[in-house]
Amino acid sequence: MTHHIKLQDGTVVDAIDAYLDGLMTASQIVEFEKTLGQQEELRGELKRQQRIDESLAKQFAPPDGALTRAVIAQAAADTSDGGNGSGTFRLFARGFVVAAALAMAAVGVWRIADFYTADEGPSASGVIPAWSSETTLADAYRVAEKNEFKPHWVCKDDAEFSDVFAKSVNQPLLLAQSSGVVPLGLGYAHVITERTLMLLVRVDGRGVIVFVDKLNYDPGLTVPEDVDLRVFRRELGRAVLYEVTPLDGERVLDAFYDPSQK
Amino acid sequence: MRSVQHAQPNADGSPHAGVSVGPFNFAAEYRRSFNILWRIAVGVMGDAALAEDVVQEAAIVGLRKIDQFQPGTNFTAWMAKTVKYVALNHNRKEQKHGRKGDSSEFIEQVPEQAPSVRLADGTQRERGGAGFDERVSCALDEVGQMARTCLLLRTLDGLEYSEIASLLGIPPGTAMSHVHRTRKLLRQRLAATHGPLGADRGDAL
Repeated sequence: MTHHIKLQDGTVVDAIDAYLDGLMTASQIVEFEKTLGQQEELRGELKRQQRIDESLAKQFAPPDGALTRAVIAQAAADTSDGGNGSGTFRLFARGFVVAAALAMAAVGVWRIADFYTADEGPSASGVIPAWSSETTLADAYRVAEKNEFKPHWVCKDDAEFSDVFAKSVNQPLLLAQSSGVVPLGLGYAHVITERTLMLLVRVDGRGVIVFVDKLNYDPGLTVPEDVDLRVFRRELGRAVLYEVTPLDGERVLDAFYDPSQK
Repeated sequence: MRSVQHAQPNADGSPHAGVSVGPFNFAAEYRRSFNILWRIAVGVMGDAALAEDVVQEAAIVGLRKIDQFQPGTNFTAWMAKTVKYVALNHNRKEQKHGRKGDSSEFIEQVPEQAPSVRLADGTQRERGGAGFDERVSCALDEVGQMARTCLLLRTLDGLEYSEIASLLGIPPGTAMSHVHRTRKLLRQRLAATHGPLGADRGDAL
């Protein structure tokens, strides 16, 4: 049975909604609570609604936003370096990068790479520009190579590393230690999507990149035959991984694992 | 009712006096608005895992267009438009690639029953799960994007209907109507699936 009440403006609404929304007058509240005491069905309805609200709060709790803050900072840095904006904007963006870095450092989420405080701007400090135009695996590799495989950021521990992948590609991932493989850090490139994650590593002293993105966006990537690079592909849960390497065989892909499966 | 500082417009939708997004406080303003913007994104997308992608992309767009923001006006309302735009674009792309049902309008559209729902942690939940939370979520999938967004902003962010109206560009009465109808639908669905009070397999209300 649905109970309705008339609000002061003449609108007729469900009594439970009016009660929860604080739309009742004092006398209507007294009357409604009296009815609640008398009608088990109405009491059940109200309890059900309260439990639904609790469920919504649990299911739709927003993330901490750390990834978004990092992305904002990176985009500001990239924009300021891209030469597309006005002078004012470029000045703003540089200031913003510092401010964002301070804000993020304050919450201790990311270990920010030095580009956030670099006076010359991100590219001058050797950071690979992200949010740039769509690029190929080979081109992204060449850009990274030119920048000496300097990452955008370094995770402070395994939990953070795993979380980055969980949030970016909906698949937590960790990297097992392997001989000759030295992880350098993470970055973004516009390869599969605008936010394809890159793990930059040194393998036997050579720069290798593993590009990771959501499997359902995977178009199937290769490198041209005339390029002196090889590509190896692996699917892992909801993620697709491409290892781009100057070496003859893949050395990193197999070291990835899903921590929830261990 | 919870108070939401900064992130809400004035009750009449007028500019939020005193909030000026200058060069150095975009991040701070965005952080203050983040929860509301994320909830708008998840309301439109119906997918918690994609919502953060959307707010990230919207942040980039907002940052690039910051010179169009008028100091002294409401930052959250300004960004809310961008979040909606990005989320709808995202939906269209998904639709184009056949990964999502029709979701071209941010209004009364009622999506078909999706086969599964992705949660904030990226896990995929199949429809028809026995848990209360799953049933709430499945029932929520039956309502349109606007109704879902209004409900989340009202229930979880404690926004007044006038504030929701201002953020989403709809009349306050429509926002209230969306919330009330959606609550009722959820209660009906949960009553239907869980039966009367206390009858849901020890999962008493």
